[in-house]
Amino acid sequence: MTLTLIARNTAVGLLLAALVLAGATGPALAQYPTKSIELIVPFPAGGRTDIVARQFAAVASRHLGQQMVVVNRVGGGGAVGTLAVINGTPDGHTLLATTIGNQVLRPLSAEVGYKPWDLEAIGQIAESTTSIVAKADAPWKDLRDLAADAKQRPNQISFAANLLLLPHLVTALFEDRAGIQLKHVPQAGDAPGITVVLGGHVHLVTASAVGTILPHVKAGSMRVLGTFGKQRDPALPEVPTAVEQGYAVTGGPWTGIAAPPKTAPAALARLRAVFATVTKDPDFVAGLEKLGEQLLVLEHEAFAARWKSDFEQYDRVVKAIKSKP
Amino acid sequence: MLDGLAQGFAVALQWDNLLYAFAGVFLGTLLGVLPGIGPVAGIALLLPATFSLHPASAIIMMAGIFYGTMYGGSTTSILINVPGEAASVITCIDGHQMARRGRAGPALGISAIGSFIAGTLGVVGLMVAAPALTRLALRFGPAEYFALIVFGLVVLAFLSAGSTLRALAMGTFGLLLGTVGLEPMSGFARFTFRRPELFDGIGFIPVAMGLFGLGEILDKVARTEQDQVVRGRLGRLLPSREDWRRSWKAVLRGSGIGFFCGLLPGPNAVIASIVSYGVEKRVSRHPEEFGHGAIEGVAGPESANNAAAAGALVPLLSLGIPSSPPTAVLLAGFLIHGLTPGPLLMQERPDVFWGVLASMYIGNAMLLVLNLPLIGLFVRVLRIPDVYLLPLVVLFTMVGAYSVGNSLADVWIMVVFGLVGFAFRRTGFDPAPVVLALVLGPMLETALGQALILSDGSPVIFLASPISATLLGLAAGLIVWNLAGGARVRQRLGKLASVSQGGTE
Amino acid sequence: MAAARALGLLLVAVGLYSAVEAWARMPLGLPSAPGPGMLPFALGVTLAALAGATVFQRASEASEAIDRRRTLVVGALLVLYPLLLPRVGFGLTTALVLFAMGRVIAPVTPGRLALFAVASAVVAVALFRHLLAVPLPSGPWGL
Repeated sequence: MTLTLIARNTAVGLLLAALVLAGATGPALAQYPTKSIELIVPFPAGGRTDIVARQFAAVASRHLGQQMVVVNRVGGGGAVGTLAVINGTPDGHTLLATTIGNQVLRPLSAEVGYKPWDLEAIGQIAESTTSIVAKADAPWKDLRDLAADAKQRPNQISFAANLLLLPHLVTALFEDRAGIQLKHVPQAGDAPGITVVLGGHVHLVTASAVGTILPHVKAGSMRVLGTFGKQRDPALPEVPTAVEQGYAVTGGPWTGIAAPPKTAPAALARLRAVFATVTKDPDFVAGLEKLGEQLLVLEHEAFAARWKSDFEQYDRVVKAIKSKP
Repeated sequence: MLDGLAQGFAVALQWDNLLYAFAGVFLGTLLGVLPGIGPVAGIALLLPATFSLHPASAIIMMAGIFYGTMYGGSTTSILINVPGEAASVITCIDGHQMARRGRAGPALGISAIGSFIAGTLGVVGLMVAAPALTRLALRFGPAEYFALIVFGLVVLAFLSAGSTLRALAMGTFGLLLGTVGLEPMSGFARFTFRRPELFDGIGFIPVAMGLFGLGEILDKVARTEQDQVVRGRLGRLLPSREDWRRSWKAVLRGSGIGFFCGLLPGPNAVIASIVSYGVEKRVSRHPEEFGHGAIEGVAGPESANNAAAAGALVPLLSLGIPSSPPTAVLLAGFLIHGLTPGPLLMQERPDVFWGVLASMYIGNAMLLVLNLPLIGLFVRVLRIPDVYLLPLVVLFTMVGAYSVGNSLADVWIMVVFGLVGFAFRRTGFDPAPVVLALVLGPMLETALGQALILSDGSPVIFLASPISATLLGLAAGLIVWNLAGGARVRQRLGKLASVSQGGTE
Repeated sequence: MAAARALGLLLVAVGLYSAVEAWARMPLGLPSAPGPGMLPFALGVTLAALAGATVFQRASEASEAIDRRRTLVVGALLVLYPLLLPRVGFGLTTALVLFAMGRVIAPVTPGRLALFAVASAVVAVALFRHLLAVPLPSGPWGL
């Protein structure tokens, strides 16, 4: 008799608890988002991260029922915007459009006060292909020619790349695998790098994306020696990857979305669901293709795992570079 | 080429494209008048609005915004001494002085007309010589850049109306400010006090708005009531025949200098305006007027910076290489519409290429037609009583500084430099070299570092290249000439100028 | 002029500070392979020298009297603006500072000035925050 009483009370208690919880989280689920969402882009307007973010925001707004607005918060190579999100309200109304540069590489090369895993992953949207490019009249047809020449004259062949960012680090990895030494000339991005190569002042440029060099390749003024993706880039089908040429180096700048740490679980779940929908939306995919970005979607667990693996990989490279005289 | 142009005009003169061009320049001018919101923000803000347009129309509108904002920046320089962007700093020097003497109308007028002529000549240059010019521009590598900036700095050093010693101190101060941030060659953090906001250095716009705009406001507030009366005179609205006679050559020279400088990446418009100012001061028959309202000091640099805007489009259209943030946003605009500027654009999409060029002619003309009548309106702005005008200017500068990077830090920088700028004015230190050196300094260091890496530490690289050697030679020559002959004349003129002026700028 | 000398000395201090900071904390390198500290060191020394020289320059022009009170108040208001901005919001900060500035510049009726200040703030909010989408801080009351 007492057992049935206890059982019944427990059952009622549990039922009541369940009802209360449903009441508490139910409206919360239905509530998010309650106002417009800020997608913070830590880079200047018009850059690649910015335009990918704007595409995402435009399509996501439709699926979320609230406007997603892009806000540029520039500075510190992406650190300022990243910090703004890390310290932002974790209610799901502030998000970060993030890339390997601001999330993984900046903490490695400067004291920014955060680490890559200080953010919550929503998902990776796209990835670009890094490549080493030379002027069309250069004596090297591919990476193997380059390596052979570099072995003969160490520290004489120059390459332009953004200091301690992905192009530089990927090239350093290549140098390591090929056992060669090239001369690094810091340049503030792909465009200045391409300019100095076309002008004959520097031998090579390591470009962070295919879009910037494609017009020159098609026009015949530049030649791609090798790409660093896992497969050949669809826009450059006849260019072999570094792996194919015998150098086990892969690395490309990715772009994705992240949220402040400890963001409300309900909001996170909704965002991740919307993310999956947006990245399958045909309008969105078409828009990305127009920009020359490769859609490479990673769900949040894979994305977060990538942050750790990239950090470890490039940590070693940065330390090696910094220890050189 | 001519039938390309004909095709281009056919595109540009379509009703809707005319409308877009007009919308672009109109919005651009408005945005340019709001300090801090320059071409970059203007194009970025309006980018979404252009998504649905036909590619040629979208580019036409964005290009209109691009040089529309260039023009608006000059308006604020002249009227309220707040430079809209780096290239307008030089315009502040004599332009605002003209405004203070009741000659805002002619200043705005010559600025508009000069910009129109320079812009048109620039488009012609673009059309005719794009490929050859691009090849020339490509020959500028790190060593040549270094030499060019050294040349610019030397011209700058001897530009000031007042004491050369103080100008040099100001320039050095500006160069020192430019070292704040991550060092470009090694990533070493200098003077950043662990704040990521300072990693990219102290922003030029907040400093300029503080030193010039806020400094001017504090200066006005500090003076007693009498000065208000001087501004009451409306004065002429358009440049007189005499003004024009003095300026037309400056316009032509400025166009040439500007277009050439525009081809080069980096702060090309700044260098263009500095060099133009220096040249005008050198060839003028009234050099002592510079710094106190010499119209050539407005005509030359204004033409230079508009021609530079046209010149900057050369590497963009022919190589797909953006040379500065505004052109980078324009490039993004191209990409979003599936267009790739570069060697293939002319061949694959001649309608876009020529359409854009043709609409630039039209856009320039529209700007002129739009702005000349507005001069009357703009000048009347100056007659608003200080009690309303000054607070409004403060409001504009605060918003402008904030909107540069959506950051409060920039507002603080502006305020600090506002107080500093006031102190400078009161004590006879010219703030212009600070700002200009701040812009040029980091580029100088980067170019030097890159050149030395390429030459493995040997300075021979600077003499091996004919371009670099020539520029360095010119710079050395200028220094010698100024120290030897110019100095005494300058001193006497400087004394005359400061006595007649009875105060600081 | 005392103020000019004071400013000159201040610049000397700035120059010396930079040079010392560069010397102590940054790798200087060699003239042929300059390290990050070389330039700030050289510039700091140069600035100290040039600014020091200006201290000894003859005073060139007589200083005019300045309205101390007005200058100080406006200067304080300029500092107050970015202080208030994140705490109180763009709209309210603008209205307050505009009003206070007007008061100190000329004797206009407070009512008219208040109207001007509030109207300007409203227009500014509409123009910048809504039309141009500049994310100006809105403070705890959404202003």
